[in-house]
Amino acid sequence: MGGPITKSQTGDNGHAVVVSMPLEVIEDDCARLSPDGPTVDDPVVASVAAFVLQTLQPYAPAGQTVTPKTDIMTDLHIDSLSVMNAVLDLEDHFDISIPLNRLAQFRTAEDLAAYIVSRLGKH
Amino acid sequence: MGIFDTHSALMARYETARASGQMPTGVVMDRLLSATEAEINGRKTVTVGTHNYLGLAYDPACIDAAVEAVRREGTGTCGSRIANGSFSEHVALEREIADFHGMAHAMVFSTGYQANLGVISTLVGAGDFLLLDADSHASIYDACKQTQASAIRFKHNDPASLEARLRRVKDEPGNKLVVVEGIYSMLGDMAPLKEMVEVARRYGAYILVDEAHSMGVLGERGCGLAEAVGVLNDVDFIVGTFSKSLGAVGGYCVSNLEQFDILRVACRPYMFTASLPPATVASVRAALAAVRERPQLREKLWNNVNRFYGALADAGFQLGSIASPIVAVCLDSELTTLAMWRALLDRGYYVNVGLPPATPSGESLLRCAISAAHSQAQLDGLAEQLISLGREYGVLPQEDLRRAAKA
Repeated sequence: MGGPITKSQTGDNGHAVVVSMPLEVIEDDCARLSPDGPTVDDPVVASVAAFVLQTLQPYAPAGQTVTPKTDIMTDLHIDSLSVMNAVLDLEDHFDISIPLNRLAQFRTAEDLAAYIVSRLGKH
Repeated sequence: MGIFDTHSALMARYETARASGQMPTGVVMDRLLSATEAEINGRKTVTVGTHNYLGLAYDPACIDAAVEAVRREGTGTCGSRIANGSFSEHVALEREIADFHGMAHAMVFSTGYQANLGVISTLVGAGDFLLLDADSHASIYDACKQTQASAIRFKHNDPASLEARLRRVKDEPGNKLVVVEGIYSMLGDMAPLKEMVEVARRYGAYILVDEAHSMGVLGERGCGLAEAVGVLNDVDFIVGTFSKSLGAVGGYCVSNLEQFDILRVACRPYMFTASLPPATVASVRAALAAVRERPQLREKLWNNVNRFYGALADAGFQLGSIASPIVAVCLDSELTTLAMWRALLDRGYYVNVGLPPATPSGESLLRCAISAAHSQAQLDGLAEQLISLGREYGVLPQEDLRRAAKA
């Protein structure tokens, strides 16, 4: 627990990764998301991170893959309205509230995923 | 790092647009000729972008009232009402605007923007929840930045989306305030207000309706959407503006809630800005009387709206979902929109442009604001030019293709 996720762990335990993406991305994301919080092999963490990336991907410039480290505003060149629209979908998918006042705190996709994980089950 | 570097992306976009020709932001009306005409770039131009919905900005009674007031009480109040005191006309206007809506209390602000900013940001604070429609006006979004309440956005005109968000916070102790608009300013569509009120009530939330574009336009008495759909007594706050149907500048909020007046000493955008000048207050009072006494203005407005919207819809333009005094032609490309806007101006018609991110779904808009003062000939002329340009720019199919498709 607490160490970086490995390809074999992912493959062996069949964690619910909702979109297909490079395993390095998942490793990187979980390492950041769970230094001492949710466990790295927690399927919830992996699935939240994956869904955030999937939701943001349509906003990425052609040919660019959204990763946990992608800076939402500067790397994706998307405006605040698009970020807010992506957040609407994330709120409904996870059945949580993400107040607009919080958005400025989320620089990267993994920041957003970490916040969602912290809110799960709390609305 | 220069002080304007934060705006470098905006600057690049602005420069690209500016390089392609005259910008909407640079339009100067050299001379106003009437409620519907101005001289722009040396030519007589029909103005279909002024939001002077009832034509009252040029109404003789309103002008006379303003002239008399400026002679009687001077050009300005030179400060705020909490510091300089109120003029009796401010108080009279507040009484009249409250009575007009059938509400007990009213507060007048110096602009409609400040009314939304001030009221919303003061009603909710830390621990409270502000639930706003995704297509809200900038003044509502800016209110979110001025309050420590959690601002949560719901999908445009979607009561189920509002309900999901109210459900998520139903066990939180803070107050919940729902904010919707009577007519949304970009596409001219209206809130499903009855349903929104029902959802808000069910979850114990307060509801505020911004009737900036619907006051004077909707309802038998012209009070707006809340009156039109029969929920005037079920909304907690109505915010409106004097700069659209009433032809001047300023904003207001009315309410039946008993402690409403506390806002006068809590609401900073009310407290720390100069109050409305006498001429404006007087013209607004005269305009309000006209809204009450001349329902034929509303009838004329809606005849114009239906004729113009119908002509553009028949031609195949993609428009806002229903006919309203804001008729928005939706286009895919920002540069085509600007090019068509310039071509219209060259042909003697001034309309508004709406560009992302101010528009709801990233569309670009040619936005026409219809007035009761427009003649049918003026609006038919604009429709004809829009259709001709639509074909020229490939937004509409050529006439022969249209005929073939219909056959």
